[in-house]
Amino acid sequence: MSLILVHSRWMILELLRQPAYTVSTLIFPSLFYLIFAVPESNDVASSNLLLASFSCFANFGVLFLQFGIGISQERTTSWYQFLRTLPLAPYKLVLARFISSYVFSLLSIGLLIIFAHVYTFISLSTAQWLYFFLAHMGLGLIFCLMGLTLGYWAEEKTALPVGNLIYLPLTFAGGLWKPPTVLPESLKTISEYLPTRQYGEVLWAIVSSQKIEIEYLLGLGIYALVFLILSYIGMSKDFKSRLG
Amino acid sequence: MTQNYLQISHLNKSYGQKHALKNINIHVRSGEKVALLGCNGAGKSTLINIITGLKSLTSGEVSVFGLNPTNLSAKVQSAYLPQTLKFSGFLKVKEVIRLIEKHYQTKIDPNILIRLELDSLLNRFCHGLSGGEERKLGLALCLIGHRPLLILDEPTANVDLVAKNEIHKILIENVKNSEKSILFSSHEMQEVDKLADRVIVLNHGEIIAEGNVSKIKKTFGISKVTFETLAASSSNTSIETSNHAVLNPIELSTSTKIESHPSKTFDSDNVDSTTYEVYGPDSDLIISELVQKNIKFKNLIIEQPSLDEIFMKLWGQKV
Repeated sequence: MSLILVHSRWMILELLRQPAYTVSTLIFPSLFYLIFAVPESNDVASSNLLLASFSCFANFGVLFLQFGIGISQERTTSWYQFLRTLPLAPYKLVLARFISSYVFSLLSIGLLIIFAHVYTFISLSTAQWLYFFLAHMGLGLIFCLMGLTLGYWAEEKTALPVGNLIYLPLTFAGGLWKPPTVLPESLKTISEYLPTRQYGEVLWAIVSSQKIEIEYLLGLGIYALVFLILSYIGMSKDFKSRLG
Repeated sequence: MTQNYLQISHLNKSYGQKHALKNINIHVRSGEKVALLGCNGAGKSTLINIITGLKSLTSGEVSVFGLNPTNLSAKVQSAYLPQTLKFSGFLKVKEVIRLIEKHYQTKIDPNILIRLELDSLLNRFCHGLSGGEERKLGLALCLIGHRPLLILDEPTANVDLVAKNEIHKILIENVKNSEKSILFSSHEMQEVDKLADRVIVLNHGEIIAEGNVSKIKKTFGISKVTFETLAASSSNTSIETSNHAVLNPIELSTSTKIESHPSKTFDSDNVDSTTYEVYGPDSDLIISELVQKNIKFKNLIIEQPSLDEIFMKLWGQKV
């Protein structure tokens, strides 16, 4: 366990020192929240819904990009190749990445919660907060798998731009910036099938004490399976080419 | 008692139709310093990558401390310096050192940091290190934890002369303890001459020569023995060389080639002695024959073949 924490510590340090990463994962979601969500948070209901939307936006970004970029670097850089020669079981490096990703995810969501408490009428019961965090952490695994897929299929140099090209349109079309009802007509139909929309629907249900629709959980389950398969194929391909 | 740290038997590695390594058989025992030599693309790095578990083998067997190279117990006992090692740029030198220390539950010897001039770089971010500094840091990391087997892929590449000498000293001191061994690849023959007690020469994925340095030199090298004979030492007829009369032509069964040059005094055109350059595989045998034939000589110089010449010869290139 101690080696897992040792590796997650350097991963966190390394990321905290990269302005490109901290801006896109910590600053952007907070800034977008302050610009787009705070002015619209006129009452408890809208405040709760907008916090749910932007926390999904933040969590998705952190987990998807951190896994995507991290894994693509892991495949190609001599530093990670060197780490593979240390007496360290490979799963420990993966677990360290999970821990560091979730630390950033909590930081990113935590910042939003602070702003929500300061500037909006946010009000959630203890049970709602508990489900709120559990849903983010649990469903976040799907976006880790999505990141793994990106990491194993994209090259190191293209992972960040490709990741952003997926992240920004998906969060917009998923209704995480603006409610799905105000999306352009053409996007409304597609939106229903996107993982970001289904993720948002689960969180919106939690913060507004509504029943979570099973179809959204089912949709997310299918995405999890698809990305699990894709990342497994990518990982096997990478493993074969790396070992020659 | 010597122990087999590394054992490679009938190793083959192919990339599709291309054979990168063919029937490699190598062992490294405790206390040995083994150099792996070969031109670019000879298969040295592929072999090292297989030994460290970074690449798979097509057939054959590789065991490190009797274990599969990917086994954690094998990794605990060996250290690896890759040919290229770029550290995570956003980590400081001291953080990288601490990170590696945690895997061996021991601290680095501060003396190593001083000798490698890393003590003043501890707070520097790795992206600010020069190629030579990165190399020295990589080597320092390999020396954490007193691991018995060091596998170093070009350990002094990009390092300046002073640091190179210090690295050689550190490595020699490190292996003084007979429980430690080094397997290293290098393109620098002086380094090999200084560090290795056994060399393995690879060419196109095959071992073309193996043995201790003096054996390799004797087998593949030509020594040069230079000496001067005195005019009065022999009554042999003179022969012509370089348009000058040469006194005392000699014949030696232990030589492969003899060159002779007349020596003249400053105040006369007369040849009063001859300088011979005698080439042969064994300088000792040449001298014995000279003594046996009662040839009087002075100013004897023995030049052993350089590894550079030998390896150029082995790789079929003109020296």
